[in-house]
Amino acid sequence: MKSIAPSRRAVVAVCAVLLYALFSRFALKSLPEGAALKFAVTLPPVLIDLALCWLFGRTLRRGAEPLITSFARHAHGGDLPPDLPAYTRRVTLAWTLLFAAMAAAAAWLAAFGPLRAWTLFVYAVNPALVAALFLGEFAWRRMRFRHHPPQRLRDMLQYLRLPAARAQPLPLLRLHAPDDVVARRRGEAIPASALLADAAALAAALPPGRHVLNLCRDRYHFLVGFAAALSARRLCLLPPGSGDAAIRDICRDFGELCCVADHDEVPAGVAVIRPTGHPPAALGARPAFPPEQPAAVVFTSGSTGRPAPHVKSWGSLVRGALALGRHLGLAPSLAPQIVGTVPPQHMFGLEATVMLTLQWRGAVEAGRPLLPSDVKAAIEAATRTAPGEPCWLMTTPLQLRACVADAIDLRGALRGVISSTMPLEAPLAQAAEELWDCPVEEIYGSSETGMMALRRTASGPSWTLCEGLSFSAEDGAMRVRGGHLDAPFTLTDRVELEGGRGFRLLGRIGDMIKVAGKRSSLEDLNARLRAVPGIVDGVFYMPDGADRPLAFVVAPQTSKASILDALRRDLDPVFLPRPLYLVDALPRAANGKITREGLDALLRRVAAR
Amino acid sequence: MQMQTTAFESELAELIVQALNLEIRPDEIDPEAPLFGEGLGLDSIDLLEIALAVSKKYGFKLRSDDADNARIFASLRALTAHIEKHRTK
Repeated sequence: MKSIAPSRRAVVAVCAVLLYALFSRFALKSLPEGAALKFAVTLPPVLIDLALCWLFGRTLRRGAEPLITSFARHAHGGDLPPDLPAYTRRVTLAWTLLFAAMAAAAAWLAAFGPLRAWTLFVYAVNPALVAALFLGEFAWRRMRFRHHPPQRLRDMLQYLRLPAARAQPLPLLRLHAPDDVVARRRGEAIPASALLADAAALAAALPPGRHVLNLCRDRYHFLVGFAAALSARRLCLLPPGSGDAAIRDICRDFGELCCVADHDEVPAGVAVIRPTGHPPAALGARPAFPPEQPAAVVFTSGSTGRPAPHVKSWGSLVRGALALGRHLGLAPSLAPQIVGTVPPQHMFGLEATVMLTLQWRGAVEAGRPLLPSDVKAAIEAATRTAPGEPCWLMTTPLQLRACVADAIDLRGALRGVISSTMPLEAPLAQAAEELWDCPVEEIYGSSETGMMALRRTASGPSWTLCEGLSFSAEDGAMRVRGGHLDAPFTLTDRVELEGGRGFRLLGRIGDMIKVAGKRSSLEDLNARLRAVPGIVDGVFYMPDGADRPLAFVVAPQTSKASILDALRRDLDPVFLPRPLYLVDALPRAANGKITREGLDALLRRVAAR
Repeated sequence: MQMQTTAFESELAELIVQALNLEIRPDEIDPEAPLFGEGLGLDSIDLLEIALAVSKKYGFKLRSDDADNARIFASLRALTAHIEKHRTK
């Protein structure tokens, strides 16, 4: 069906009618007139039933996607919940069998029954059966898949008019009407129509090139830059927040780029364009992009700060946002209010603030509140301007800890809190739940994959793998694949499966640490530390509960300042030791190993000094 | 790069260096240089720490996204002026 264009389909239909007319005119001439008439009248409904039987039945063959599954995929915006395909295959089979049975019954009645019975069957029973299966299946599905976003009958009828296309372009704004708010800045509401107009204007104003470096800090400006890059088919580069060196590396690795920024801290020698204020450009149809279009590049820094790129397809970003929204219980009738303390350039910020907003009729706070009183003001602004709509705070354990320490009062304002980028301690999650009377959930994810699993931290240590994803053990490590992922990913954590979709994390492989959302291994940091001239011995150490690593160094011939200068040239700033302790010797055991206990004791000693 | 530093600026510089475990002396902080990004190289984690330390010591809560947020955190000098205006202890 998808291979035949509508105009060709019309030609095929006209030919079929002509052939049937010819058949009636000549082939039926040999029959007695009454029989010929009866045949001519009774044959078309039988043929229609047979054609429908074939249309449904042929999609049940091996390797094809059952027709109802295609409809469902379309209805779910390209992303099928994992528990649906088995069900929709059975529904397709039911339709096939219904049409086959009706064709057989109509043919049998035409041949052997009275014409009155045939007429009753074809014009009353036949449509009634079709309607009964359609409505009955719809009602049953809503009951059985209560956990999916509810679908309206009107929407279902609309899908029937569309061909069951597979790689449908996925819209930038899936549910927003032009007047729906997409962002708020200090109480000012920005409608979806403004985003589309600003993005079209920016897309038209972009200088030639292939890449767009999106450095915007304001989340609405970021959205404009992101949408414009998609429309102009440019790859949107999302550098990690800090580190001028990292951005210079990105500029060198990805040529032909221009930079969209709403501030002046931009790399030298790169064309800079403001996100807004460009002459209006013609607005096309609702922007939608093929799922396979490369949409964004996020970066992992490693310890050196040299960024490693990870390309995200538009389809994977949309599928991830749909899965997250379904987990949160979002529905087309809701307009979630999103407040984020994470930058939109970070993968968690991109999926939980940018993509969730675009795909679920969200309204996102444009500012990036960092301090507890800012967070409170932003959430109060959202709940004041959109009363009754659910509000989520997308944050990190650091901001959460500061907000809980300040005991900011948000009771009744939040539907939930989602934390990511570093492990959240259960007591903190518990305290936040009690303070604000809402669930505090945690996302386990990575820049490479985005969200992989979720848990309500206060309820226990088990994680639940996100829908569509699956684990496999390979070479002693766990690989995760499927769902929204573009490619399988090997975890840097050790995993203990718990049956079903549950699992526990047993600590990082290779002593990985994470600082300010950036990952590095202590081993790698240690190797770089020991390579600094003048250092005899040295070790990085991340005490329990610390946000940053410290370092112990044995370097009798050199100064702290020169060591730090050398490290500054080699390391991402977030990994610089705070503080750096000069010591006489490291607590190495006879076999040369350093234990945590030894380092703890050393720390107590030097801190008391 | 010699600059005049007021007593209160020195006090705040001392507070920042201690709260953040910075590997510099308080008097090495240029009161006119940016605290975040390129200048002193502080980041959003540090912002939280400074806010916590300031609220403990001076009894008022900092906000970053006031209309004049860039101004308040522009430098040690700007932050000092802001705190002097709002402190309650």
